[in-house]
Amino acid sequence: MSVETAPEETTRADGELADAWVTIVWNDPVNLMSYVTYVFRSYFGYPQATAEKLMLEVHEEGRSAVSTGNREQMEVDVQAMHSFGLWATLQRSDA
Amino acid sequence: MRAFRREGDHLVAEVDPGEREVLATVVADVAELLGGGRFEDRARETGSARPQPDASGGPDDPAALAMRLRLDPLPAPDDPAVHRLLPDASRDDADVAAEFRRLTEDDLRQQKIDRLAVLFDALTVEALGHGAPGEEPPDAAAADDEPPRRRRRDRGRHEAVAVVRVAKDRAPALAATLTDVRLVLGERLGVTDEEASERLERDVVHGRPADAEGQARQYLGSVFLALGWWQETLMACLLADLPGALGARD
Repeated sequence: MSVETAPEETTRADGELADAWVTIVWNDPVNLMSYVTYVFRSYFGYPQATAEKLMLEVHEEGRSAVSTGNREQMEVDVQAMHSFGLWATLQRSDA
Repeated sequence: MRAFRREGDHLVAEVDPGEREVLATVVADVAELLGGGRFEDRARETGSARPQPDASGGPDDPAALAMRLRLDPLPAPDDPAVHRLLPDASRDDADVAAEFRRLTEDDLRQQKIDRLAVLFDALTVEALGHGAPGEEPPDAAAADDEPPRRRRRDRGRHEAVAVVRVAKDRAPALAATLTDVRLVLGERLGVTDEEASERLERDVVHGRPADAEGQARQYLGSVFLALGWWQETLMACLLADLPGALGARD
């Protein structure tokens, strides 16, 4: 960003900040803990410890933010989660 | 129903005759809910639940192509079980959910139907091919707790033990399909939270329902629980094969 910040650039910077999105996976009573862990490991490439931590968050707290990025990236992740049968949503990361 | 086990580059599990038919029916029902037509009919006509290359619905089919270029919004499914398989991508932003559904639902729906067709074929045509009538699965005698001879004698011509064989790279798709089937059964059985899940388990194991409705629920519940156990054994194989896992093969 330049030192002389033009109004448009400020807007753009705000836009970039606001364009941070997250993928949330929600708990459900049907999905197996082993399966959810497997999905987090195989799809996101998380190590076992991270995948298990996220899975337990989903299970115990009802939800977990499993990935961050721009909206298009999160749409790809949410579609993948739905393909796996996990209920996922996307939202702005400050929401 | 036996646990999945590794056999070279495949994961293999035997399914008993009665279970095989029940599973195939449930799989076909879920596909029909998703708009995949009647698997039984297609399999009877073509020998496979999967659409044939020249049949409608293929990549060159104009209707299929038009679906990919969907411009109008798509309403969320009315059936709660279908809605669970194709859920809203946002809880509080209807525009985000609608846009996501417009862009992804057709593909997701087709992918789920295709995967169900693969499982249906594995449970019907292919499974019977692997386990011919009267023939024991290769290592059943070794891993068995029942005398194989007696089981062979008790089995009629149409009661072959089916062998579900899935290549390791197709196994994650099988796990996802088992999930879809269990999600639909869970929705129908009212498994909405952990408490309902525990109640169902108690009912299936200890319940003695007097009425037909209760018996149907107990039966469906037993299928749901058996599928959960079966998927657990599949996940044990898949998790063990992930890079860095203890005992990973590659």
